[in-house]
Amino acid sequence: MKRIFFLLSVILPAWMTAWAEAPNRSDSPWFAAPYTGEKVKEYELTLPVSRYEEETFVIPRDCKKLNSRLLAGAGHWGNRVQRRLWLKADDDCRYLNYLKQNPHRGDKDFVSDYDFMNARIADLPLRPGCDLYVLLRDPQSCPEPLPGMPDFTMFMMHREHHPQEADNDDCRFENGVFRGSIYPTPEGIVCRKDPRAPGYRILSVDYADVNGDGYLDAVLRLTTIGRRASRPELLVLPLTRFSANEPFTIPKGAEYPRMGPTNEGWIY
Amino acid sequence: MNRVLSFFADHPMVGLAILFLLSLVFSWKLDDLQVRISAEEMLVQQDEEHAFYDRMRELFGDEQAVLVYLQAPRLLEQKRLKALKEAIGEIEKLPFVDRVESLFSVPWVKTVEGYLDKKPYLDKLPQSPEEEQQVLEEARKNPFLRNVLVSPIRDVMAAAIILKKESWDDETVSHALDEAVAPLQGHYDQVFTIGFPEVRSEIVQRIRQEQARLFPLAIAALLIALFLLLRQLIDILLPLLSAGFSILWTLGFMAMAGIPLNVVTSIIPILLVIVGSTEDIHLLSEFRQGQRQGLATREALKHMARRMGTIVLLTFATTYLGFLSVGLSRIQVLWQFGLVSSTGLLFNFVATVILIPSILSLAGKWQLDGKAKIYGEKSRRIARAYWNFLWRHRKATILLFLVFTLASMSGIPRIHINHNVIDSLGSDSPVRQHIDLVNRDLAGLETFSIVVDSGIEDTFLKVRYLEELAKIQQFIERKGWSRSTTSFADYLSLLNGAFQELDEPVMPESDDAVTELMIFLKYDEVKNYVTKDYSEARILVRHAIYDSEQLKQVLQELQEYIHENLDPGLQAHITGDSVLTLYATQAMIDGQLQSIGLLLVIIILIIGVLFTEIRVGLLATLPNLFPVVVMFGFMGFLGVPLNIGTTMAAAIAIGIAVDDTLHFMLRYNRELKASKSHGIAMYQTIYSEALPVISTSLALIAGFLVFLRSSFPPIEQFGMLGALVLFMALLADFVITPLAISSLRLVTIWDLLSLQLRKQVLEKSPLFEGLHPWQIRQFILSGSIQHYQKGDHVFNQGDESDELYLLLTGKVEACLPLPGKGYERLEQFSPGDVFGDVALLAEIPRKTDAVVVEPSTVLVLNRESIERNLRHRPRITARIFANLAGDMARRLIRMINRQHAQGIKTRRQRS
Repeated sequence: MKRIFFLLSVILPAWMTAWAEAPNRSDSPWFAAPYTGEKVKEYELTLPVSRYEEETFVIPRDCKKLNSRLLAGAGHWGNRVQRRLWLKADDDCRYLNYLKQNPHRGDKDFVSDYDFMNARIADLPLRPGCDLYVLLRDPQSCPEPLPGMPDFTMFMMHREHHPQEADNDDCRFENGVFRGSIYPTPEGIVCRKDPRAPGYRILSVDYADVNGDGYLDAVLRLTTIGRRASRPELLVLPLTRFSANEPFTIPKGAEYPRMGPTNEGWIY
Repeated sequence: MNRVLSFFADHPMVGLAILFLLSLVFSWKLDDLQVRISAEEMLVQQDEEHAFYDRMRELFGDEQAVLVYLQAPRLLEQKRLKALKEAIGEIEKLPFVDRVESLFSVPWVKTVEGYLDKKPYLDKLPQSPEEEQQVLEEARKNPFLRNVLVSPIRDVMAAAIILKKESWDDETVSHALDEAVAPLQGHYDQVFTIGFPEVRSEIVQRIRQEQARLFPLAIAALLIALFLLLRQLIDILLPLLSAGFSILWTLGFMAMAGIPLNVVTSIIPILLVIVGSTEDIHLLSEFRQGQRQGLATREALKHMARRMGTIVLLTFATTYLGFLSVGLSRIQVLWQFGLVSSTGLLFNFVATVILIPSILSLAGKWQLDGKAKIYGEKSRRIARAYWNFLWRHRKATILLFLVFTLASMSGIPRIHINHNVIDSLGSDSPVRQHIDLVNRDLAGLETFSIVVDSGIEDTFLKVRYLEELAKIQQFIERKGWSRSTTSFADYLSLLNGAFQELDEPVMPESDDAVTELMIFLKYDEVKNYVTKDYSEARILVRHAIYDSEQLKQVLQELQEYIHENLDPGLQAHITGDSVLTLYATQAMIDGQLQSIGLLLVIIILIIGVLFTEIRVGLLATLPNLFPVVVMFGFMGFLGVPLNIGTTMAAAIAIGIAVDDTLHFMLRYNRELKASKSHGIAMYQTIYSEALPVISTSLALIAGFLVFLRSSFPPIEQFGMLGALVLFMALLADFVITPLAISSLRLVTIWDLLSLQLRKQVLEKSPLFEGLHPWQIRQFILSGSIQHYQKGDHVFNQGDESDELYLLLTGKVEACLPLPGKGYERLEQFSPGDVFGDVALLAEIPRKTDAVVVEPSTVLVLNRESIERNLRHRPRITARIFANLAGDMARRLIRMINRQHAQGIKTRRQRS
């Protein structure tokens, strides 16, 4: 018995430490705090709920309350910026709800070892008709890949010309950022980095079994960067794979909830 | 006034007691007198422009700050930054400091791993020269720092100290700030604090120094001038004493009224010494003249009171109005100057009319040696020769003056305007040199704002309207008017650049992007640039344009651009310190023209009423208008700008110069009455007025020249122009005035009012039939009144006939002398009757004697005065001649009837 206690006392903390070190497996995601834009786990926000009343919400703690106020129509109060803040808080809560919708953590993990911040473009589920722009905004509309065709596509929607030289080997995110262009050629995917070109930044990578299939999924939040890029709501890209060597795909049945409040499935 | 002077001559101790008591009253509050320089006081108060500016400050906050200028090769070296941080910490502890903006506090808006990071540029001190350079380069990209707190090309940076709204003593502020940055001296090659408190502090210090330096100089100048001309100890001391009293009272008045000593009001004590002495000199001169005529002190005082009482009152009034007219300005310092200086002059007048008779009554006999020998026969000869020369060459002289005036007028369009507090400092001033460095290395200390208003909420959350702001900014930068224009659009661009991870700020491309950015922005960060409802935005323009005319042109061009290019839904209004300063410049010029115009009108009216003819008033302004034209021409040709100092010179100088004209005209009037000859009256006037007019003018010129020693260019220029105007006025008084009035028969209002005429005389006299009493009096005063005793002969048979007589009182008979048989009475004249006219008009010698049978008063009109009346009062004279013809006809008929009756009687007697 003593031995069991001894083993538990040695192994449990070690396991706990290892679990804790795994990237964002169970704790809440990072948010950009309103007004400051700082990276925070929690933020406080005061919003008008009627013509004369205001209410303070601590996000994500008060997400349910926020959702119920939104259902009551409070999101229409306030000025243009305040109305946008309602959307931001709702968006953050929706993301959290998306991560937490499945209470079970996927046992089979082929994603957390992958360094998404330096992900190779070729590892992403890109294909003709399903470039990253479409993929991030409406993954369901992406057509299935044609049999025998590799997953490649243009990376950017507004690429104006094909550069003469390509950097195929380095066609990857670097510290969460990719700037440049990717385009298909008969020889395969061609990619060119251009530090002055628009691109994408991965803001966070969270892990959850978003479709409850037992496989851990990685959820990437990205934003566009660079001149002429706008910064709309954050783009959410869930990725999964079923072995360590295959490319990532979109998890089946892991549709990201549409914008706006809902009275279904609020977990957090 | 004569009675007042006589009263104090009779009761000198009462006079001295009043002076003492008044001095006690006014010295009571003297400790409360402040020396204060405020930029606000140089601006137009209580007008729409200022109200808009106040509203802008209320909405967006103040424009200005005190800068800590720092220059060193490695600006961000750790040891320097540590010292700077410590100094800033000390500055922030100062009670008058609201906050300090520097690289330690200004956020470096960037993204770290995709999240916004607004930590200050120097949140962590750079660890290597490369890091230092990187931070500096990043700071230089920030439009809110570039040219504001960091020089884009030089090793210069700054910290901006924003002061609390409560007003603090400038000297306390600048002294404390200097102390706080003193430890940085060893760390940076050049360190100083510079802002408007420093400018004002230096001005205050200079005022103190100048008071101590210029005041004795003014007194010395006056003393020398008085000594050289008057040579009487008491006469030299009395003007100084009366000036002393008036200065004490004026300073007391300023303390009581809460008016501080500032750049402009600080010259008042010196002006009182200079200007206040003129009345004293005239009174003393008349007193001494009386003494020289052999009058005892008491009689000489009465002589002085009688001769000068009314004149000094009048001349005081014109000078008083000259100074008061400066107060018409809407600029606070100028109306303060107008009020205080005119009150000071009033005090000086009171002190003079009390002190002079009182002291002269007590010690008038006491003379140094009476060496003033200007009233000698030689001087009289010189005066006569001068007048003869002037009269002979009058056409050439007038032509010369006209040419000179026209030449001066051609310089007037060249006058340029400059009204800036910084210009009060010379180029040798350290503060001015610091400002020049800030202007060279950063965007400058001066500011103005463009407030763009839509009247609709959330307007400036739309790219289209943000681009309107950017368009105006680009225009300003393109024109090279400013190296730093900042707006809400810049802040959003900065934020957008950070979010898009660009190297530079970029304007968001869509309204949605703006809204997205807005959720990461605290309103406090942009409250200086946009209102809370985003309906109004401010573009802050920092610049180094100090020249008012250049600034005016810039603002006009900017206004035109805005008018032509701004979205019609927006309204833009340019305001700010620079705009108000410019507006004040315009108000200053308007005030100047208004003052001069009003003063000239008042002078015309006063002299016109005084001499009963507006034409005389108009002629009297000639010698006073001439110096003003010359002054403006001089300003144009020599590039002397119209500024806070020079703007006052013309009005003040006219107010002073007109005194001499008045003295001259009144003296001429008196001399003409006495001599009945214009030539004699004129050289007598020149002879009598030469000493007082020249001595007061030279004393005044010497006094004004003292201001040339001032270290403030506007005051220096004021002194130079004041001296020039007075010199020109002196010249005009001895050239233009004699020529202008020599053809006039001056009649003063006192002559008219004091003329004792019985009503029935006027009503009865056939000469004045159909004339108004006023016209009758004017005509009467063109002659001279003579009194005769019973038995006197007004004229005798055979005398030259060049006079006409109007009997005012008494009885006169026309008699034909019968050799050895006495007289045959031909006609008896009673009051109202005219006699002596027949021979005059026939131009033949007298045919009868005119014998006084009762003590009589007779108005004598000579041929010259009748001809003069014919020229100057043709309507009155025509009426008089018509009446005279009627009267002569009646007398002829009477005579015929009498002769006819006489003939019948003789025939009867014969028969």
